Amino acid sequence: MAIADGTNAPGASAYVNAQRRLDPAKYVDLASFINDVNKPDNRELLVKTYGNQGITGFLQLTGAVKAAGTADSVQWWEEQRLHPRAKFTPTVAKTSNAAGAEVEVTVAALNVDPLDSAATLLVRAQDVLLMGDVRVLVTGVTKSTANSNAISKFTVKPLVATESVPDLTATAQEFPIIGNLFAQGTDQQSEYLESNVVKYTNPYMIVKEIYKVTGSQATNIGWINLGNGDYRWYVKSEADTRQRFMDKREMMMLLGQKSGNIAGIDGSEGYFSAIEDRGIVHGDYIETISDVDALVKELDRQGASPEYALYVNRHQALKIDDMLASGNTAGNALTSGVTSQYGAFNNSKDMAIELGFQSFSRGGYTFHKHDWKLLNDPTLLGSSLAAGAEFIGAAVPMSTVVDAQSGDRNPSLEMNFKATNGYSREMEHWMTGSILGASNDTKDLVQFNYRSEIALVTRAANRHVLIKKSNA
Amino acid sequence: MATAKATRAKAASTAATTPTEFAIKQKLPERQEVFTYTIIKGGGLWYSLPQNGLTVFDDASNSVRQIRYCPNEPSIFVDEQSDNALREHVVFNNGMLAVRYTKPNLLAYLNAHPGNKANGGRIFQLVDNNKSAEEEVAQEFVQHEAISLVRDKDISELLPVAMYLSINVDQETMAIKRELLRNAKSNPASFIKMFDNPMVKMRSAIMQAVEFQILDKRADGMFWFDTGRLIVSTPAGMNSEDVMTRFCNTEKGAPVYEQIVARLNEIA
Repeated sequence: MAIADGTNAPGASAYVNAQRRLDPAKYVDLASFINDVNKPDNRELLVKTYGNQGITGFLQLTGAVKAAGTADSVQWWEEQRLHPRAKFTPTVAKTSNAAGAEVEVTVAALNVDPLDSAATLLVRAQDVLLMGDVRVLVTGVTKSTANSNAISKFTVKPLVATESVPDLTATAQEFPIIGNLFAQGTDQQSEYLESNVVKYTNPYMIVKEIYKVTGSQATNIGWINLGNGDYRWYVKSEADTRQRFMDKREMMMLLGQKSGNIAGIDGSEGYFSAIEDRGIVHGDYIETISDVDALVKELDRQGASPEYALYVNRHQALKIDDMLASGNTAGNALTSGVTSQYGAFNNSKDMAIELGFQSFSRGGYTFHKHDWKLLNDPTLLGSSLAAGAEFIGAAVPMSTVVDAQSGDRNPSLEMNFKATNGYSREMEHWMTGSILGASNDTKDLVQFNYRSEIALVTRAANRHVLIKKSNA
Repeated sequence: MATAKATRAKAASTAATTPTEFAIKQKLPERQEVFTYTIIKGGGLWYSLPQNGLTVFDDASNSVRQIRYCPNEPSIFVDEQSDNALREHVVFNNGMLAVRYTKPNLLAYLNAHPGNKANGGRIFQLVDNNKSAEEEVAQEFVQHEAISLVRDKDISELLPVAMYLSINVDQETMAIKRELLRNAKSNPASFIKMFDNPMVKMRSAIMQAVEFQILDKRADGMFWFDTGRLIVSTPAGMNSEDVMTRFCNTEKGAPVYEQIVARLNEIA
């Protein structure tokens, strides 16, 4: 009985094929010919050469919640400092001031917008400023003739006659306002402070992906068992496309940027971009306790959360391990593995360990360290060289923040998807074609479509830390 | 009368001795007191400068040396610092760091830092107000000079430049000047150079010669229009006018250019 060979004309037999091959140009030995009819010893399991390659999950693991969006951009509000400092730049330096003498300080107009307290001098007559260790009284304030909202000069006088106003160079000065002092029978102040709020907006971004398979390929089976006895390779490709789409969607939320350079595309502020704009950036690897201390001091200044999830690349993880294992920990400088704060894990240390976190404490802050796959994957942000990595890690506060407008407590990170009236654009998936159940096109194929409209809200970015190394 | 004369004499004397003009006195600072550095991109509200394992090439010792900033150490080189040197983080707040001249070690450290733009880095840079002022003034003056050329030059001198810039010269003088003005503003330095560039005039003559059928421009070369004889062939992908201009600038092409100019003058 002849063996059909799909590559030849119907009716051709293996014998005829063998005959045809016997010319000098096409000659093959008998063993090679026999290989065509022998069944190969095939192993049908697919080897996961690179392990689980998906990187999705960082945002959910760090407590980011999902929310529905109903406009082209999402907006949120953040309150400002309760106690504004007296910030000014003298136009003329006032140095070697006499003891007890009143000093007139002429200031450069920083900002004429009274609502922008960050750049506006908000000092009032009778305020008491703490200049170093010298308490001075603001004895007079003169407004700018051009704009009554801006202060052009003010006078200060030490409370104690033996003390003098410290040297005020013509550079940016900043002092706390500790209160005020009034004489008997005097009137109230004429001006008051209006609380400031900062509005942030982030446009939604649209991310898409497709995968196609023809009817012919959809009915082919391969050598590899993809699970549950399914040998159709397109199933694997479709699943990979979906995973790639999910990963890229998350990466856009992490690494995205607002665009002002491309018509029709606004872009969207990603997590790193938000921290680079208004967060804490550590410009190098954290290697010593001194590095942790510098960070902790700044976290204090920003009213930070007591618990942080520290997601880092392998180089940084090893450096922290080295730091914890080195003599630096002598005298309980750092506590490793015996941290007291596991609030983010329902006060369960076991839960933290099960989730792959290693924790250490310093200065009342607990850092739960975890590897970040995204930063280790060589096809994405990973680098085999410590000096080659641009983004090293991030410290995410594991707590909620209070919304200045509504008073609601909200998580630091929020993944927003466009959705309304039951229609969600979180993860749209549909098929077009004429096979595999699709019947909305005449082409002999099916196209798997993926689409998502998303935006990340990074609340209180001043409490988030980005560890990055800008390679010179 | 005597009194009046005396008064006038006194007034004249006063006018002679009291100067009416005076020079404005400037109080220039003896030294730059504050040096401001700024993060080039993404400094956030707090940025800690990389300080671990930084090395620089030291010209004086012809060696690679490690640097770090320790406030109590006069030198930034680790090998010159004491055993008890305490390192301090260099922090930019809101992307800015102002350093007074009283911290020369910090200034030296920042100026030697590999992340400094002046050293080829891309982390931070020195804000140099004087330099930016100089650049702005120079830019303004060059632009002003370019505009003056358009205003003062005769149209006969402007036309070669206009032709070189592919401006249609078959229009009113003011229309040509308007288009020249746009070019002068957008790229003033190269615009000024065009007036001294012999290639500009040469190219405009060739363009005129083509227009008046003295030359025959084809894709494969430049030919005499009347005889159809080849002057110079054009390599594939090149412009015949450009090739002809360069040819006229050679010793062999000089007589050809003279001939073209002579024929153009005959037309005029």
